[in-house]
Amino acid sequence: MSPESEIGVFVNGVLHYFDTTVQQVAECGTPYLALGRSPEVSDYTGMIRISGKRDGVVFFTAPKSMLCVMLMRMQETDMSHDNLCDLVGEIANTLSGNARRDFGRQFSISVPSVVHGRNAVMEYPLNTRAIVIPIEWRTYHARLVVCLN
Amino acid sequence: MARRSSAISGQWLQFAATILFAAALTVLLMLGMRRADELQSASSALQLASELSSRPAIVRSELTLLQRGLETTTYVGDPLRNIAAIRESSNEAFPLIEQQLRGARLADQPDVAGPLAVALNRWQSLDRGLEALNKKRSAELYLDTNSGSELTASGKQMKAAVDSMLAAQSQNLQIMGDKLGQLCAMLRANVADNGRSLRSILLGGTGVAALLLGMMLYYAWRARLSAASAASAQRQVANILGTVREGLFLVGRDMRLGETCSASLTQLLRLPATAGLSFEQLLEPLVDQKTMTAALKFLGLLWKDKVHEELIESVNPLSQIEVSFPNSHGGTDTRYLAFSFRRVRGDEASADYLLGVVADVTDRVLLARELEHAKADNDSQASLLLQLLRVDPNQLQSFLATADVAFRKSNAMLTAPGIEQQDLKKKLNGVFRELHAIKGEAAALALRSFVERIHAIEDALSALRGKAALSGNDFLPLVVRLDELMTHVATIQSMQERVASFRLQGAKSPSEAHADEQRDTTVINEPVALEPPPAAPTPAPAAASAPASAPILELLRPLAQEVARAQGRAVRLVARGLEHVPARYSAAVKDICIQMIRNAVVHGIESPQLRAQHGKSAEGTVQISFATDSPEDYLLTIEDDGRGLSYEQIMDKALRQGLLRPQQAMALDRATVYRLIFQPGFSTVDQVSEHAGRGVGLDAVGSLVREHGGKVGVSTVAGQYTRFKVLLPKLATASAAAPSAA
Repeated sequence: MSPESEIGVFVNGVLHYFDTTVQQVAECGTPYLALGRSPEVSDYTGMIRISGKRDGVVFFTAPKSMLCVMLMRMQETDMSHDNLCDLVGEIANTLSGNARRDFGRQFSISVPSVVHGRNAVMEYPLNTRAIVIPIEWRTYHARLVVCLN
Repeated sequence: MARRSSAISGQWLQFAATILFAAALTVLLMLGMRRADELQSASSALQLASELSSRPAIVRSELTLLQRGLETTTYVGDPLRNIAAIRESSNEAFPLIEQQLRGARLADQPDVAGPLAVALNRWQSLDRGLEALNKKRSAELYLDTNSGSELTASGKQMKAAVDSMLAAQSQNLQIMGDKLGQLCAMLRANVADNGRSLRSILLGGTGVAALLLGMMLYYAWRARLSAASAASAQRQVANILGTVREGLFLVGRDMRLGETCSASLTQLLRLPATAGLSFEQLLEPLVDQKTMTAALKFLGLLWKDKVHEELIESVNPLSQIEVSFPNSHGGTDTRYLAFSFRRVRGDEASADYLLGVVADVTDRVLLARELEHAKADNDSQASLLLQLLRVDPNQLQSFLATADVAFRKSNAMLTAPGIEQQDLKKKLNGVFRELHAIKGEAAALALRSFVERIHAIEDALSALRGKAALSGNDFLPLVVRLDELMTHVATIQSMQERVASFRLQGAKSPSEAHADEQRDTTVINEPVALEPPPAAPTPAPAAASAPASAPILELLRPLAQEVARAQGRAVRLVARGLEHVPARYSAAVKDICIQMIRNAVVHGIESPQLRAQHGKSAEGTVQISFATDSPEDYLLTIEDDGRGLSYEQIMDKALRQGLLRPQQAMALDRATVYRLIFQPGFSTVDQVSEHAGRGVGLDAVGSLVREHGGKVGVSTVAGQYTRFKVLLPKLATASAAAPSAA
């Protein structure tokens, strides 16, 4: 599986989540490389770690406002911190499930974890540039970040 | 095979011995039975004879009692009845004795038959006399008178007969008794003999039976041992089949699988069971029809004894197959399986089965690929090193810096917001231009690793240009490749540093170091075989303008030759005035010249044959001049003496690419049509090559000129020349410039 196909698995996973669970299509912006500095994280970040054939992290990070609107679309009324964490955790879980489905036994996928806050420090593999895929939904901007060496 | 043959002969020996012993036992039993019959008969005869032997004495006694009774005229009924009974039993006994003697096979023996015959003879003689007595009744013998009882006439006759018989038959009775006694003795001896004989037979039979029993027990023990051994072997086979990682199975001539297979087979092939499947059914979920057909043919070959199985192993279509299995997460796992086959020969010369072995070689295949990649990387690194050694370090450093800027610029374009179609197309064209410019410079430096990588990206970008609607996702491969390119830049940077370090280490003395420096300097400033400098004096370059012609020419000349070689052209590059290019335009002029030379050689200069047909010299000429005469602008002119621009060809291509509608085309003047060549993605050639065909070069030139606030124009005469003029302002401006055509 080529690197772009691997990343495509995550991108399609996120877009599919919006399409089916949120029931409103999200669009993918032009991906780019995070040069010079680490990619910015937003209010809530759902993350999985990958090891084995390739090592690194994949995370979906979104602002609180976007997640609240997503919950509303999903007929949820509870906009608590825990519920927002659960939402990004669920998206990370979707990423994990897709990776397990498509990557085979040469990859080991961690249990999803959630971090909160824009100052959260993520651990990236050394000497690896992260690829940032903007996720545009309504007027909101989220990011899918894939950093695999 | 010898062991199996020995086992079979052992089984036959066991069978034969059993039969022999059983036959012997049967014979002995039959002999014993016969002897027992004889013994029984002899015993019976003996008993009868013994009973008979006492009869003469009893007869004499009864006759005597009868005589006394007659004499005393007392009741003689009892003696008469006893005599009658004796007669009857004796008459019955003799035939019985004869019969028993026949049964005892003694009837023909004289020492038995003789006494019996004599006794019988004597008895018959006696019996006739006794018979006459029995005809009288007791009542008829006496006549009661007043004086008492008297014998009647009949009584008197009887008395006379009895007296006579006692007198006459006394000897007969004696002889009869002796003969019967003799017979009894003979029979007794015979019974004793038969008893001994029977005992011997029984002993023999018992011995044979014991042997047979022992043998049977031995064979049973052996059979039990064999069964235990077979069960142990079966357990071992089961353990092997249950433990071995490879899938083992047998294929019969009917192409059906055997009943036994290793447990791994079902796991490897992800099948619930393989029993009863045909080989075709086994393969069906794994391979396509073509491979299936080839595999069946291959197995067909294996069944032919004349075909050497080792030799045809190389054509085994199943030696490595890629298969996809659904995984537990709803996706698929790709595995690599290797099948191999061996003939299984039994006693027959021809094969009974084919042993199929299937192994999961995924790890091996992936490792081999990694090794292959590692080797390719090593080769690539070695090749890269050779490339770097051929490139001037300063030029390389300059190129790497330019490339890094271009890649960051490309990434910045992608980072910019905007997902509308025009945004995406703008990003696409922008990245295309940046990369194409870098490719041109890499080609000029003969950095094949860059050229090939960027060319591959351009292939992908060209495909994106053809898409009706773009999405951000379409740019993913581009970003991945961009990442790889940046890594490649870092790799080259690192290698260059190592090469530089090596060069420094090689400098053993200051004089040698100085010599190296001189040599490097010589390389950079090596005069280029160019057109003689222009006769007209050129103004002195501005103080701020560093001479840049030598490095630019160093780039352009090999580039022109490389592109000419790739296109099958002969080209002469003529340059003048490039030494006056100011430093701030150095990079731009270099990039413009690179694109223009590639365009000129690919699109303008004809093949030597075609040029000859048109009366031109075989070698085409590309002239580059940089003039500083004008007080306002620098003038860069690139001209080739090739076929010129084809109005019809440009028009046709523009219509086909949808850049123009037919109605518009009719209204356009030639200058406007020629300006189309600066459109992104426009190219008049159908075949994309490393150097042209993507419609990026002139787009990049136009963009570059616009960035510097300049202008670009083109003039052409079909069959004679194409001339591009680029005006670059002497005072730095940033106005957009539209290309013009004359």
